[in-house]
Amino acid sequence: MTLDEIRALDGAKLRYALMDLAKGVPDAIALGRGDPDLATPDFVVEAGKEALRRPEQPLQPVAGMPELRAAIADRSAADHGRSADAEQVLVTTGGQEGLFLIMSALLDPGDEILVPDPRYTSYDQAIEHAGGVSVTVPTQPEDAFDLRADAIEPLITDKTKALLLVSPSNPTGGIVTREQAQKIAELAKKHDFIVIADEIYGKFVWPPHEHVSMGALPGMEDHVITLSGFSKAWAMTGWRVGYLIAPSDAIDAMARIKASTTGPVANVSQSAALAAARGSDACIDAFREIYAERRELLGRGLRDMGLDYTDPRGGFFFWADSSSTGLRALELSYLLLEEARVLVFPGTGFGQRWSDYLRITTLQPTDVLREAIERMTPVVQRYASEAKARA
Amino acid sequence: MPLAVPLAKRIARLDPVGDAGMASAAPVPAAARDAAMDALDRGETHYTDRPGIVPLRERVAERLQADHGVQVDSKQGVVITCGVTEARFVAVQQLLASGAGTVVALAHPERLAGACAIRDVSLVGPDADPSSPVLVYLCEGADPAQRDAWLARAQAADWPVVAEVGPGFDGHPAAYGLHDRTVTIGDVGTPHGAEAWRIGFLAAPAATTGPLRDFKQALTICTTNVTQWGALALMEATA
Repeated sequence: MTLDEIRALDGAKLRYALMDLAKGVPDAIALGRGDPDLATPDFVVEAGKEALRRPEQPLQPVAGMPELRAAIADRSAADHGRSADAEQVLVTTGGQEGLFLIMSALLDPGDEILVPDPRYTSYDQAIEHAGGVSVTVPTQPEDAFDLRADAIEPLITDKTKALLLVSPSNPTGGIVTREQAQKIAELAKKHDFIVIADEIYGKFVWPPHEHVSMGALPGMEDHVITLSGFSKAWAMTGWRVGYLIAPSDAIDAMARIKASTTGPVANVSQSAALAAARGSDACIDAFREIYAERRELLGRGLRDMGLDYTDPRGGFFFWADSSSTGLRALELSYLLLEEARVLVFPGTGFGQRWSDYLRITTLQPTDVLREAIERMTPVVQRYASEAKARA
Repeated sequence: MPLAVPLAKRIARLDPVGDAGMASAAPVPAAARDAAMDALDRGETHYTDRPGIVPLRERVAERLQADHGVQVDSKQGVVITCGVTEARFVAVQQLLASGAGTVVALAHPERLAGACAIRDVSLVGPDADPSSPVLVYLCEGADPAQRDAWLARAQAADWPVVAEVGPGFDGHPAAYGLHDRTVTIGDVGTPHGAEAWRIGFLAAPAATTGPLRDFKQALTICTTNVTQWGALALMEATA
């Protein structure tokens, strides 16, 4: 695929085209996809193997293994202060199916949904499929890309059905602070819309910041659908286990849809997820330390090579401003793949107006990140020098 | 406690789901379970390629050629899905425009009822005479005379066909010259007691597969890694 062909793409298609391109680059370092490189914890893998040892492989209920639903409900209360019954939990085939089910259950054609800009654009396809209309809520570098209530309020209309709130944000690492969360909660109650709280990165918020779970705020139980899963916190992307927490009528509706989208989640995956949900957080604490070290390393490397960014408050990504190179991020990402053999995603993979930004992940071991920085630095600095000379 | 806003109208057309699971119809062969455990030992816990692991796609392509005379490119024309359920869903969502079509099910219409309701398209049996654009669904249990008649109509009118292959299936549309407009779907695990592993597939000419693959990616990213390896061993053990 040529640069001209890549230029014609945006959103998820752009991201996947670049990943396909990187497969043909020998020794490429992938700093694109949000797939934790760390191994699923041993005790979780062992639970999956234990399920496989049994000759009988029972098909689980569509809504999920009852013990897993109960364990997720217990964790929700213990981790975030959102109390829920097992009947308020739906186990999904990854968080991605969860958001598809939410949109299908909530949106009638013409309903508006407020979505942050930039965002993980795979949301868009689920919204479009349900006939919904995305209304973008800007987030700004000067606010560290945190979602703010005063950016939301002017966009609310009588067609607003929901707000998509992703905290920490993919791709920016912005969060919703407690103060803003409370203001957004008041808006939701005043204007009767639903907050879809995507908390998949909620275990990775960097101090001194805190993760605020919207469903735990007073009076928000019937205004929030929480979307999360096991992929990021337990490094379980390939197992495909996510979950939704919502009032039971919404769970019932989404389960009806799920019966037709994929049916139950694979039994082996649910057994593994059950072990994760019931286990201690020691493995997540260890992951957090590893990611913090990488964050520091990559952040320093990006600054040293001349790519500016706002400190991400959570998640796995840097959202770096590439304008110093004089190149659009799409071209720079193509050239970084070609000349430095490093895959990063251009901002237009996350919203059309982000043509001067790159999303770069920390999801590689530190020695690989060092190598990536060494490869990227001369390329970035050369284009920046050329841009300066032209100015 | 109910949600604070009304749910989408399409929900009313969907049946409630039960709380019960289901025992596997037969024990899953040890070789397949061992292969899945070996995959875990190798660290197969990450996303796979979104269309699925390459050797499983190759086995599916080989099996379609051997069993049904269908030729598909394993790299571009096969997508591994979360059970045949996802394959059915993806096909219905992508082959008909929302609110503008009819699915003619030659047998087992219940398999597509939910997918059709969500897409807001009609679902009828083989005796219907639909006027809107049609997708023909063919599976085991179809009456041969009706199958022949509907495939002839599909060829004349340029309608897409979904053929769900499996035990008891006969008369693949490729034999009727409909290869280019047929999406073949199937279930890898269920015939061997492994329905709970949720491994199915869809296969089509490469030109057709792109949008199907994109939609599957938007729905679930990829199919469960470990059970794809188990399903591969199932296919190899039963070749």
